[in-house]
Amino acid sequence: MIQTTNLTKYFGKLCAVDTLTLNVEAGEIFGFLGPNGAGKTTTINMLTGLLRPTSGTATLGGYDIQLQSLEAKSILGLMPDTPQLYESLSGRQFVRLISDLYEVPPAQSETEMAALLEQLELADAADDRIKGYSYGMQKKILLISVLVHHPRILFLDEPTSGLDPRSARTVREILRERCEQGCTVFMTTHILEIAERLCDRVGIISKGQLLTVGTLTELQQKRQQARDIGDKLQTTNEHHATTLEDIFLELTAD
Amino acid sequence: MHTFLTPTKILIKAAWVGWRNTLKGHPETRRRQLLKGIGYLIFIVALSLLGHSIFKHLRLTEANPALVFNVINGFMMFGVIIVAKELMESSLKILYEAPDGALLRTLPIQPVAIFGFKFVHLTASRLMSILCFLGPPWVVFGVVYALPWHFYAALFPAYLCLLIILASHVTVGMMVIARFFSSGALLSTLKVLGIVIGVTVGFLLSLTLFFQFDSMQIKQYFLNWASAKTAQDGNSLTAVAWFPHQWIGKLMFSWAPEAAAGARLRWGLLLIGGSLGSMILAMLMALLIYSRGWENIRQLQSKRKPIRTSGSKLRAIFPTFGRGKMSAMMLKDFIVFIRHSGRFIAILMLTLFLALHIGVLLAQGRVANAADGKVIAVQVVLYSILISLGLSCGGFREEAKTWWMLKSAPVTPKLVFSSKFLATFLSGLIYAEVWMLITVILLQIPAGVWMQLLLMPIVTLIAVSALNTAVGTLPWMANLVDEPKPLLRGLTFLFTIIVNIGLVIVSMIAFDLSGIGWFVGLLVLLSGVFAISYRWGTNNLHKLLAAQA
Repeated sequence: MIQTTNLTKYFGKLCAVDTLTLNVEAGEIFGFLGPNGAGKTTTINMLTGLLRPTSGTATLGGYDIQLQSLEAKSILGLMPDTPQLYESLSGRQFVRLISDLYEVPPAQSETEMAALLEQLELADAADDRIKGYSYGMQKKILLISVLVHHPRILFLDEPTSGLDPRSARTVREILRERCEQGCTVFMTTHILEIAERLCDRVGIISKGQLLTVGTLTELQQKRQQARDIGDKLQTTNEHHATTLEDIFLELTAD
Repeated sequence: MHTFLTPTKILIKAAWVGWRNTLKGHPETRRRQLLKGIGYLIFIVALSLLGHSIFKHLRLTEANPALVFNVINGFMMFGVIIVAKELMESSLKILYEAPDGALLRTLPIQPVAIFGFKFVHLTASRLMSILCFLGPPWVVFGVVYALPWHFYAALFPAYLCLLIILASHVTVGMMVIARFFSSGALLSTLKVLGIVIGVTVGFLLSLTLFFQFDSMQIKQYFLNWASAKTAQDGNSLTAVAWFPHQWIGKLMFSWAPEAAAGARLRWGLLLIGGSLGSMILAMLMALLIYSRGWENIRQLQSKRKPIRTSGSKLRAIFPTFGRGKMSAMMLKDFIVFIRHSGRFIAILMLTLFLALHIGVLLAQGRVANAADGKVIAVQVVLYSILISLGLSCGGFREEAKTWWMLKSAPVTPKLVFSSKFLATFLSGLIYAEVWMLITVILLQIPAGVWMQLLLMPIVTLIAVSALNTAVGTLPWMANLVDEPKPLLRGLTFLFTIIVNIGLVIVSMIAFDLSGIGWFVGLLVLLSGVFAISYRWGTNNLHKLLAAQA
């Protein structure tokens, strides 16, 4: 569903993303992990048509994001890390705007919106102006606007940051439900526990380079194999990495 | 005392270093300061020219000193109103709305120390205003009456004292409001009052600059007012002075040859004493009510604003479009546009001017002729263009922060341009046609020119709205550039307004000539403007909506 080939982005001399080649299958929740400044948001920006890659290609559902941008955009939904919304609109008006832009039938969008507002406990504030919303509420309304048009691919940059534990759990449940319906989720997070529990596969990026990709079990096996070779060479008997956090810290250590 | 002074000093020092850093590091800040400086210079020139013209007249006619004193008091009142207005706006921002407020309150320092720092910040921020709005009349007075150099040397400390007195009184007022009467409506009213004073002052000063001074009515009006006041009050020079700006007047007048002995010392001491007393009063008030007032304002800001008009009601404004991309975009543009308080005030003021003009014509009791109708038609079309400029020229700028949304959504440049253009055109057209109807009915304009007056807004606004929307798509106008370009934006805006006025005048002339040939020529011109604007705007949007390099 998401395919990148040698995707590269330079900002001046700084290489933010270095020849990223990746394949995310339909119905999969893919966790894109990495330290601050690793190139996660730049990748998302290139995949959603906000940023032009220096070289390489990216296709979404078979559409090239550069060459068939309108078709590609019509099947994606983006939730950036920092919500910048139309503050003069109410939450409800904002969701209506987005669903109209994606040509969702009005009746369907109203039903869908009502359900999501209830699920994310935002129904009472739906008619208040976004200007008065807290950070968490802004993220919730943004998520609702992204979910209401049923995109085939969801790009979520830190979807649970700023959310209360109950809402974070609801978001996880909604995402899992959407994936069962065939939606593909590409998300970044710094909360490795969420990635461990939610993502089918994860990719770890550091300094623009994709270090590893796979399911948690695959990553553990890869590390174990690497350790086995290391143990044979060094004959040491250290504590072996088992959690995603350990793997992440080991891989991204300088 | 130590616990109050030390943190205040540290905070002032940090603010000073921060201000210097912004000047050093940011060319944008330097550019803004330069533009601000040019703005101040315009005011200085306008006031100096007006002051010089009036004082020269008074000197040549050997006017009574009481009249001269009242003239200068008039200038001082004018300046004090502007500075007080600026202090009111700044005190609300600096004392209550500044983002550092919460951080400062978590530090182990007394609230009065925070107030002390903020007070110094406020006073320093308005120093240029007081020098600019109150300085020029006194300087030209000194020049015209050939006063000695120490007269000028005394001006700065005198103004500093006046500024401290004004700042103290304004902050005390704001503290009382914030503590006991804090409400969103009251704060909005104060903000509106500030904007209205600002616009009126700008209007008056631009009159001063653009017209010949000697034949100007404003000068005569000023002199008449001062003469009437002199006749009413008797000798103001010996009368009791209650207001601080009068103390400055008395102090500075003590340099005049006919001044009484000892007056300089007396008024100088009163001014210094007044400023110290006012500052102490402000500090004491801050000790008692500043913190609670700050909490009240914070609570006001964090309250969520409910929507007064529901989406469904507003949607009824666009009934023919139903729900769809175009309707959604237009509705969004319209809501963003009308929920901007500054713009709302501008609409209100322009409408007031229009109502006044029609009211004056009605009060004259004569039946309006076709010429009256055409003058109002030009006025109405210009006002509707000015009103809709925020939507067309500034509409994309308003969306700069949310541009990511349009970039990642399946929208075409044509859709984005058309929706903005239609929202602009329809808003302007509805405003213009409603006023044209009111005008022709109330003023009983001859039926022969009705069609002209009602048709003119339609044909003119189509072209002008398209042109302004296209100008709005320029990257520096939409603020979709790496570095904002306020100067270029200002110049583009000015140029656009000039072109707009030109198109309206051309339309009026073509309608006035009443020939079919002229009308066809006008239609060709306006269609050309529309077509070029549409193409230019969509091309620009194509680049802006594409992935950023």
